[in-house]
Formats: sequence, structure tokens, C-alpha cells
Amino acid sequence: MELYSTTVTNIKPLTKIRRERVLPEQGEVVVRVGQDVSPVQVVARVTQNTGFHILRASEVLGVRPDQLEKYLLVEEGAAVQRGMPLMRKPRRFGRGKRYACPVDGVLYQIRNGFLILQQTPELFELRAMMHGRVAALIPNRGVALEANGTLIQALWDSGKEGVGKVKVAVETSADALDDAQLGADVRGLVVVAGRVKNVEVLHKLEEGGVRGVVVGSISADLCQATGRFSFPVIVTDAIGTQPMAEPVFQLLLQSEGREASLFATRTDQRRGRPEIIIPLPTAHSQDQPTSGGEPLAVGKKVRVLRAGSGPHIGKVVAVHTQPRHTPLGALLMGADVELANGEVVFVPYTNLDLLV
Amino acid sequence: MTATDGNLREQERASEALQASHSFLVADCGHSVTTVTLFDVVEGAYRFIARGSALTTIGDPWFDVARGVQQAIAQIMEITGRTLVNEQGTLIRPTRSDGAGVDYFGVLVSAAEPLKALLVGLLEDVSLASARHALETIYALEVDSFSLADSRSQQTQVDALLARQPDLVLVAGGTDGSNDPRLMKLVETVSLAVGMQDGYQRPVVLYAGNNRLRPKVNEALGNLTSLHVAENVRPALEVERLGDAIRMIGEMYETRKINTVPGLDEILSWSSYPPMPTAHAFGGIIEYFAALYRGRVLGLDVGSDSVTFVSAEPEKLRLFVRSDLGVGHPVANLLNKIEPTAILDWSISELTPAQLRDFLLNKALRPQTVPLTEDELLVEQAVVRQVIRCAANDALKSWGLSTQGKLPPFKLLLLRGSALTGVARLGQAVLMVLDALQPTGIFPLAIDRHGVLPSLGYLAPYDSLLTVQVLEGGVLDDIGWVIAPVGRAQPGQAVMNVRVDSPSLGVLEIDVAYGTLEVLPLAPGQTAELTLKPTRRFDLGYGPGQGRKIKIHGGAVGLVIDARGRPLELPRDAETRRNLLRQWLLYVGG
Repeated sequence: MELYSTTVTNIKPLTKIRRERVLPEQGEVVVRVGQDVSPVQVVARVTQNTGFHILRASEVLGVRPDQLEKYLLVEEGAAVQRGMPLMRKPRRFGRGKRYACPVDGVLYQIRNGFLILQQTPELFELRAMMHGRVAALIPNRGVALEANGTLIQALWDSGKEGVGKVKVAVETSADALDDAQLGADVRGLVVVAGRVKNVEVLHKLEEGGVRGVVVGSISADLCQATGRFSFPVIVTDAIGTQPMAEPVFQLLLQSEGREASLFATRTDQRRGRPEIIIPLPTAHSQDQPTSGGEPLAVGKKVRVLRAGSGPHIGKVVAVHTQPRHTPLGALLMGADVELANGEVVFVPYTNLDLLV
Repeated sequence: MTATDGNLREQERASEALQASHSFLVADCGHSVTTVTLFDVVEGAYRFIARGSALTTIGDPWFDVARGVQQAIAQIMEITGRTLVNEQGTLIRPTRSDGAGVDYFGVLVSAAEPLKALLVGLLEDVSLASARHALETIYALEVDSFSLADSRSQQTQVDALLARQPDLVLVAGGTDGSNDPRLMKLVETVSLAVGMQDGYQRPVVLYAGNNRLRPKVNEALGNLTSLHVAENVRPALEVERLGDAIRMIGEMYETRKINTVPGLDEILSWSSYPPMPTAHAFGGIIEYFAALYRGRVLGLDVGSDSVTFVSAEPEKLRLFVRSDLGVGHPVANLLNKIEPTAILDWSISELTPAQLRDFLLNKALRPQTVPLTEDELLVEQAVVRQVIRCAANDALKSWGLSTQGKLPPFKLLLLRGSALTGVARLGQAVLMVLDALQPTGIFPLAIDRHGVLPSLGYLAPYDSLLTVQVLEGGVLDDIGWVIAPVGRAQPGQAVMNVRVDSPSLGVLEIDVAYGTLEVLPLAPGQTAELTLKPTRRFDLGYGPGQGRKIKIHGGAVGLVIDARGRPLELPRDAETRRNLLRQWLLYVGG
């Protein structure tokens, strides 16, 4: 019988990466299969609704709903502009009752005495956000991009995306980013640190024109605050004050100066994981990212979750498919994990993150 | 006919039924964990054979719920040595001549996303309340509500509906036959908004209001979206009739949510029966116990992404499901409902509010994980107390059953859900439940550690003999009995005298003092006769000062006498409070 860990995290120095870029609603795909794209390149676009304005027109004119159309000066589907006359009810004497259009847009519908005005839609352009090649089109919705490069899956994101050159701003994976370490110029950079000291640091980064922040951990209070900033924040390990997992920190250190793309999922596991993608100029990749589950096995690298002041990275030395007691007495299947300090501990499968 | 003849006939009938007996496998796909249970006939009676459980594989990296079901089945195969699937991993059904496979397979689901619903009604306390009662019986989230009391403009309401993108708009309001036209104004708002949405985004509308308005509602909405009509949930001001609306909301949940769970189509292709929401199956089995006990039975399921609280009396089932509460993803919502101190007061671990917020968000992001340190365990159990308390308070309010904030009397409390069944020692579960619910009276407690209760509720309509015999086989774990008197006194003052007469313990006299928690170990299978004599200020459910002799059976914890008072007040001093919490935990064997 196979035993699976609770999560599988890809931390790949060089792998074949496939990333879908999809519009929020149906639109037009503007690239072709095989085309090379840059992060800023638009791959699909859609005109998005900016809202509707409802007019109780028959009430305004004091007419029955079924009589409304004969007082209208524009037809259903016609473009309208703010201030232009929309309807008029003649009077026996004088100019009659007129009503000016309150918004720019289109007369979307005439229903039961209501006029529904659709405000001028806005063009939404979906950018590639990474260097790569268009591998497939998703009709009317987007594209699948492929590239060879570094892939790091993370835990939490602030719901935004960004691209910038990697700058590791701290000495060790446990260091918190503070004002002193920020340096003079963060413009265009994705700044990496063990954690962030406080919200003032985020303000400074915003002022400096940072493109993104990657940290090992961040407090829940700061998580809430990240919504106020224009740049994405990605957390790789935990909420709190834990350091960044050493393999992730080392990989980002090796990637300094390269362009990293930060992709968000709004931390919805049903939509996948937040990812840091660093395309590399090579036609070859070592392997493919793991998709789907991979059973625990002796020799595999794992991260022990909720083990106190982690992260605790270790190696599986035995897999137990018969339940065993955890130190707190719960009975669960799991694995013996040898930690970096040589200690071997039994960890239930629920608290193992397989690093692949 | 003699009694012996009658018994023989009964045995013959049971024997005939068993000759046509079959094996059953049920998969219960929860948010975090998938449990599969196998039932079969052993020595002439249906029995629970084995259980397998695996992480639910609905999200990253699998996106296929069938993988978790297959992993759980593989565990059962290892435990029993019985082949259940073929080389392709497909369930073998019916049972082959070599014994491989099972005869019937069924699926329970709570892993699907909750149904997002917008409620429409005239009055907050009347039609909207009834619509809410109907919605609370399924995994759902109320995303907004429109009523006469809503001061928002029509434009704002339309914008709200467009922004919230509900799956369902449930319209109630007006008594049957009334001429009140005000509901149509709200229906008009819904109609305007729905008309602005693209076809695939439009919500289903369920109309359960004034029957006289049905043609007008049909005219306003019938050609815009899928409109369903149920019986009025409030046909008269003093009458609430929810059955039809509940049934239709359940069907909508199945169509719009269960059927879209990735990978579910594969396991549904093995299934002999339609899938059922786990909460409904749990409600069904609690209803069975209510008939058996001839009185009110409570059921509590504290799951990862929902909490289900059930109160069943013979002929009356009340089901309350909260999808915004739970110990998994929704746990981060808890601080939107209560202050951090409300949780920290129940924690033995010293934690700041900021650390608590970190803890809750970590748990929400990794809901399957279990505590590995004692500090984390104690915080997690403090959180569970408040999750239960929030759900129970809201349920009692919704049902109109709360008397001065207390639970109504009941005859049995059944517990399930990973937060309660996953504890190392059952005393921890007992203490969490007593602290959270603060029940009163005298009642036994049992826990569903194998996770079989929903499966039995699900299978009961198809094979009631199975449900009866599996329960008779002792599939539940008895925890013991609780005696919780109601009354006020100074700490240390007398509450009651209990005389215990038990073959295993001998005769004991206990003077119970106010503010204490007494635990008497009475192991499973042991019995005791208790003579209860409360002082005149305390009530055990028979009236102040009224005692009684009762017979009880033992359980994993035994007899718990909770004389800590109601409502339970904790010391203000943090150190004193933590010491007391630690003492209580020690007493219950936690």
C-alpha cells in the first residue's frame, strides 16, 4: 500500500514549465502557437463590463411600461453619451419632458419600463507575465505557455502578479527584511527575504517601485496589509516568523539577477499553488514538474509541517502504512524522517510536504 | 401464538433477509479526508468490517477526488485481504464468485464547494428567517439578502447581485393567497440583475413565496433563467413549511456543486445510488436514534470545512449546517465572529492575539495537518471549542430552541468529525464539548470514531436491517454519561450527593461541590446504579431539589459530573484560569 503526503511541492532548479494564462471571461486570443512571448506581451484580451445603470424610465415619464418605447430617442443597442437626450415626452405646450443620459455606454436593454444602460466597457489585456513559447491555445480564453527554468511552488499569495529581477536582500534564510537592508534602489526588483519586519518596510518597497516580494513567512496581520500594495507578495513556508526553507533560499540566491515571474492563485488550493517561475535560456530541462500525487518513499526529501520554529527539512528513512502514535498520542500513518541535525522523528503523513 | 413462536418467526424473517444480504461499500468524500467503509455479513448479521481513509484529493496536486477514494479502498484491501478493485483501479461490482468486489457502492459528499445563495424575502424575521432555515440544511453560504428593511437603492442591490454571483436566488415572502404586491418589487430587482448576466453566469431561482404571485414571478423570471417553484415556506404567518424547499435546494446542491467535483464522475459510475450530502445522511441517522430513544437526540459533526448540528425528535428533524465554520479552511473566519480573547481564554498555552491569528491562518492554509506540539494541540482545542459554540448558538437561535442560552434537554449526544474523533484521549473530546455546548441534565455520550454514522444514515432507506444490525454490533464508542445540574451557588458549596452502586466500583458516596468537575472511571461494559440527591437550589431536569435513581453504563471516560455552573465562568486571572483548565483536562484523562 502506498502512503501519500498531505502536499507535494515542486522546488525545481531546471524543469519544463507549463503555465496557463486565462481571461476572466470569454474574449480574444491574440497570439499563435509556437510564438515566443515576453512578460509584457498581451496574449489575450476582452472588453469587460464596468457596470450597469438602471433607469426607471416609465416612472420618470409617467407612462405605462408598454408605452415607453415611443418616447425613446435611441434604440436598444445604440451607443449613448452622458448628457445626450435619451427620451422625451411632448407636452401640449412648451418643449415637453426630456431626460438626459447619465452615463457613457450602450442602451443595453429596455425591460418592463426600465432602461438598462451598460457603461462603456473597458479593455482588459492579459499579459504573458513570463518569457516562454505559446504551446497551445485555449479557444476564446487564453494560452498555455511553456518554458524551461526554475519552478518554486509556494504557500500563500496576496492575489497579484508581477515580474522582476531577483534580489536576495538578506544574509540568511531566517533574516527579516528591515529598512537597513533595503538598499537604495529596488525599482524593478523581486526582493527575497526570510521574512518582513513590519508594514513600514512594505511601504518603503512600494515607494521604491518594487515589482514583487518573496518571503519564507509573514505574519497574519501583514498578510491582510498586503492587499493595500500594488506589488505581489508570495510566502513560501508559513504564516508567522519561520525562516525560508533552505533549498528555496539557495535556489533564489542562485537566481539573483534573473527575471522571476510571480503567479498568484488567491491561495485557493482548488486553483493550484502560488508559483515563482524563473525561465532560463536553455533548450533542455532536467525533468517535468510533478503533477498528481507521488507516494512517500525512503530517501525522499520532505518538509515537516507545524513542527514548531521550522522549517524542518529532512529525509524519509522509513514509511509506516500501519498507524503509529504521534508524540501527542494520536494514531496515524506516517514516516520516520531524519532531520538536518541527525535526529530521526516519526511524522504523521498529514504533516509531511513532499519536496520534489 | 406463544412468545417462542413469535421469536422463531422473527428469526426466520431475519434469516430470510440475510440470505438476500449483500456487501456494501460507502465512500464519504470530506473536504480534508475521504473515508471508505465496508459492511458485510458476519455470523448471520451485518457488521462494520473495515475503514480506510486518505486525504481528499480534490485540490492540488491531484484535482481528482477518485484518487483519494482509491487510496482509501487500497487500505481496506490491505486490512481485510479482500480484493475490491481490478488492475485498473475500478471497483469490482457485484461480488464475484471468488469473493472479490462488493455488491453495492454509494457516495457521500461534503467536499464540494458550498452553494452560494442570495435570499429574498419581505420581512427579516418572517419570510427571510424561513428561507434561511431552509438554506441552513445544506452546505451553503448566504452571500446577501434583499428585504423590505434593505435601505439600499435598487441599483445598489442589482450591483450586489452581479458582484456576488450567487448560484441560487431563493425568493420567499408573503402568505399564500395574500394580495401584497411588495414582493414583486424585489423580484423585479432580481429579474433586472439576472437579465444583465451572461447565460452561463445566471443563478437558478427558487421561488418559495406567496402562491398567488407564482404566475407573475414566472413572467418576470421564467424566460431569463431556470426558475423552480416550491411550496411557500411561510404559507401563513404562524406556519413554517420547509420540506419542499429543502428538497429542491438539496437537488440544486447536487446538480450545481456535487456533480462538478473533479473526478467524482468516475466514482459515481461505480455507484448503486445517487450521491448524498454527508450532512443529510448524518441527519438521517440521528433521526433514527431519536425514534429509538423516543426523545430528542443531538448530533454534532465538527468537520474541516463545515459544522453540522442536528436535533432530532421522533417525527421532527432539525438540521443546521455552517459552511463558514470549521477547523480547516474556514477557521480563519472565526475572528470575524469573535474576539481573539474568546479563544485564548480557553487555551492553556500562552499566546498573543497576533500569534493566534498566525496560528489560524496556518491552519486554514494547511487544514489536514495535526498538532505536533502540546502548545499547538491546546490552542487547536481552544479553537474547536469556539467553533462548536458559534455553530451551536446560531443553531439554537435559528431553531428557536434556546432557553436562556442553554441547550434544551436531550437523551443522547452523538459526536463525530475529525476535530473530535482525532484526539489522542477521548477525555479531550468530552471536555471540548462540555465547555462549548455547556449542556445540562443527564445524558450518555457516544462518538463515531470509525466515521460510519453518515454511511448508515445513507444506506438505511435501501437496507434498514444493515443499519440496525451494524449499530447493534457496537460500532460506536461509548464515552460514558454526563450529569450537569443547573443552579447557582458559591464555589465549594454543596450541589448534590451521588451514591454509586456498581459491581466493579462497589458503593461510593460523592458530595459534589459547586465549581467542580468530577470524573468516575466506569469502563465500557460496566454498569452502575446512581442515586442522585441534588440540593434544593439545583435541578437535574426533574425539578429543583428532585433526585432520582438511574442506571448507567460505562464508557471510555466514565461518569462525568459537571458542577461547574451554567453559564460556565472562567477565572479572570490568566494564571489561575490556565491552572484550572489544566486541572479539568487532567480530571477527564485528557
